[in-house]
Amino acid sequence: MTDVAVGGELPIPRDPSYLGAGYTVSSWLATTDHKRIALLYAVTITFFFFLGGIAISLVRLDLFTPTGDLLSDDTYNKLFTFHGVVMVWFFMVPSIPATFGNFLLPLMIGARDVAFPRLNLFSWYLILIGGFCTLYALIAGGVDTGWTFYTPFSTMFSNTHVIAAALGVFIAGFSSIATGVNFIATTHMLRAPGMTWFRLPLFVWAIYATSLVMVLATPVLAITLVLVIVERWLHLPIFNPEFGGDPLLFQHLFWFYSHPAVYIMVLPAMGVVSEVITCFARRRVFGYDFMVYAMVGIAVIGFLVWGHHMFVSGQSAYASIVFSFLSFVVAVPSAIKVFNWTATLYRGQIGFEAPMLYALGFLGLFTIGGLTGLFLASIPIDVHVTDTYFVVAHFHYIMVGGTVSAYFAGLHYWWPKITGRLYPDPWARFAAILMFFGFNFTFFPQFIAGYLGMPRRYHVYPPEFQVYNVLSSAGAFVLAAAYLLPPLYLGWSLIWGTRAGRNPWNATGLEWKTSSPPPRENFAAPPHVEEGPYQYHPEGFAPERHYRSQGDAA
Amino acid sequence: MSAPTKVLRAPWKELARQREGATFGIWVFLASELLFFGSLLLLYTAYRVANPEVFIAAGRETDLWYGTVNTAALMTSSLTMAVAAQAAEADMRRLTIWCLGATVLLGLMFLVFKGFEYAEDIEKNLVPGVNFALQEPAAQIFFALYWIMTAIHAIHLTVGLGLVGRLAIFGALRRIQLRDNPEVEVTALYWHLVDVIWIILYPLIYLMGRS
Amino acid sequence: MSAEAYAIWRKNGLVWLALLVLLGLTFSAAHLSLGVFNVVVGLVIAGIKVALVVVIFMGLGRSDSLIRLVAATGVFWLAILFVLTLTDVIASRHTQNPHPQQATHQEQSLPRNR
Repeated sequence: MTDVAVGGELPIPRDPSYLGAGYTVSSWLATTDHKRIALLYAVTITFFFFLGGIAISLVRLDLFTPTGDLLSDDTYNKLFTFHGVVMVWFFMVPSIPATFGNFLLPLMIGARDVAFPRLNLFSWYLILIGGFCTLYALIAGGVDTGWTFYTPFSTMFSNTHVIAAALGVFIAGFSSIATGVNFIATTHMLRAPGMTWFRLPLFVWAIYATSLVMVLATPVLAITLVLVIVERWLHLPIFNPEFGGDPLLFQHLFWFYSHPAVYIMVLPAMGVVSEVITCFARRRVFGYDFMVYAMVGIAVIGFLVWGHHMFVSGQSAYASIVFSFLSFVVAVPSAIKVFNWTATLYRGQIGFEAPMLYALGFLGLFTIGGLTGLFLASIPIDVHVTDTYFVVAHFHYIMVGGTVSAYFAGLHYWWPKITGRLYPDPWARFAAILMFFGFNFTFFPQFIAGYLGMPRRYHVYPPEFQVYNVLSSAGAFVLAAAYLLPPLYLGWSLIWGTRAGRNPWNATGLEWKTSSPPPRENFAAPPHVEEGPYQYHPEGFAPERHYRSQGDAA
Repeated sequence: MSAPTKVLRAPWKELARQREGATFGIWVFLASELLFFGSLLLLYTAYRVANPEVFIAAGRETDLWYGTVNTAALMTSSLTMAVAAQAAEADMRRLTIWCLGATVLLGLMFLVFKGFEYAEDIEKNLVPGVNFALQEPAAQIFFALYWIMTAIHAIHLTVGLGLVGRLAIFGALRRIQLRDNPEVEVTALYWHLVDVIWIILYPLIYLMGRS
Repeated sequence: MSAEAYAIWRKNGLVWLALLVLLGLTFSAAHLSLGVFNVVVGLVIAGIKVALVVVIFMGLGRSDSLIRLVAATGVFWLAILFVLTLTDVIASRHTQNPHPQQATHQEQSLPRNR
């Protein structure tokens, strides 16, 4: 693959790449370069991803049989809790924003760095410290409350290291807030001349919307965790029913963050998908403006639906109805995006390289996950399937089928830009397809098991559910194998991969106009933007008319 | 004496833009702080709606004088902080440093009085637990919220003292430049937030049940 | 004192005096027997004090619209938290079982729809 000279190309920078600007440990640990910080985050979240994966592998292993013969009850509870805590706060929430967001946001808007580079480095240290705190909780014996820390079990009855885990998440929350503040300020203040809001790539809009959610939702989680810690440690009654405390208030505060948190996890993924689909279908995105409104709409409406997690907790029927209605409404902008991605594919010249395979996988799996969300928004159905594997399957379809697929799409799409190397695409395609099959094998049986009544978080279950559990656990090991492939061939590419030119995919976007990898300063000269994003096909261009006019028989 | 550290830093190309950016950034952070404290206020509101008479009776036990003097002190520190920030912009270095110092002193005064107040509260058995002074269970929730809200506020205030003190000391030593420095505006806005939170807490904690 | 310094002290000092007056007002009003309006008066006066600090000390009065939007967004989001949560809290109280239950120590019953 070679570079393509596109009209209006920026000069190739002559400075060493950001990877070569200093080889000492402190040049990495004290860096303020957003690209290096992105890599620091990438290493951190990959570490936590594999830890969370090991935990759930043990869980799935135990679930091969209906009796709890592999793990004790307590150990089982601690493992699924650890899986949830680590995956949510130390992988999913930071994944795309802190890695690709950090690396690409300044590049995509034509800036030299984020608005507050030292704050950026500090936010990485915060997640590291939070991570160590949570790891301590694990090593000291674990936590068994579930990632949701519901009171009064977490505050009054659990005998595990709740405080350490809650503290770890609390600290990580400030990493989130700092990142959000940084990205919002960067987007407002550092766009290159000519880069107006509606010329921004959708990935930038996605990161911006995500940052709004991070800033507004995370503080509520922070306080909630403080209250759990204080009640548990100092016995100050807040949620204790003996004193008139209301455990449901904990749930209100917890889910006020945790529902928007899932939009923190999915919005950046949507941004990645928009970048990849346009490039590999060689088409401008269909309905750019509505894609923007949809993302902002998801971010805002996502704050109005949290009570759908509490339909069976004792929430008043009146509030439940309000939340149910709003939960149906929030599906609309997501659906608009799925329609627009599909329309973007229409009459495209579709290539099936690895990033596109992951993005197409996202489309299908996110749609299934989203549709099952509608079932859950309906109170009568939710009453039956809540706290069953139906819910587990629903959120894994979106978070794993959706966000993790998009993470891999982005990883493969931007790998040449970040590392300057090309990976072997056949291996990547194989891993993508294996992942798709492994994923569905793991999680589709869970829909059925849950619908039939298998509760979540149980490791002893009635034998009639065993067939679904065996399918699911087998699928999990296929999925695990698929996850182990990318580190192998991507690692291989770092040493033996062909060096990438500045634009191996022939993509549009400012990040592709600079070298691969970029220099410390990002651009040799500050870019001046004259056109909108996704200039893949001109306005009014109809491929069939074009080919017919050239005497093509097709 | 070495020259003060440069104020303009990458990726900003002009100081005016950097200051705009810093001001914008701190306001975004303040919005998040509003949600942080707001969650506690929500809990207070919900529990008060559920237990109005108990909250009023419990509120009577807080020390109105300490609360009021502290409110006055903090509002005065907001005055000195505002003057310091505007003096810095007008390049009045001595006035800036004196006012920053006064802000720190008033803030310390707040903490000292708070310390005495806490000691008195402990003596009066107003710490939720076995020997709690009031009978009604919900009164313990009022006081749990009292301790948590005022402690978290005090922590924020202490951080603020660090920020203001740093400007005062390094500014006096000429290690940092105070004029046109975005850090001054950022510190000032943070300090005012600490005051705003206390202004909201004051009636909720100290003015209940006084009639 | 230079004219500039005097202007700064004057502008901010007036706000400070207003804040102290309001503090005195709210302190006195708390001692009056206004029933449910005690809370209202206290919060309204607190609101005015907050507005003074925010608009003048924090300069929101002379900030550009983007900053005002940020401040308004924070307030609006807090309102979302309050309104939707209190909807549930208040609606639960209204559907409460009117017959008070004896709280035993085996089963804590919460005043929610059962």
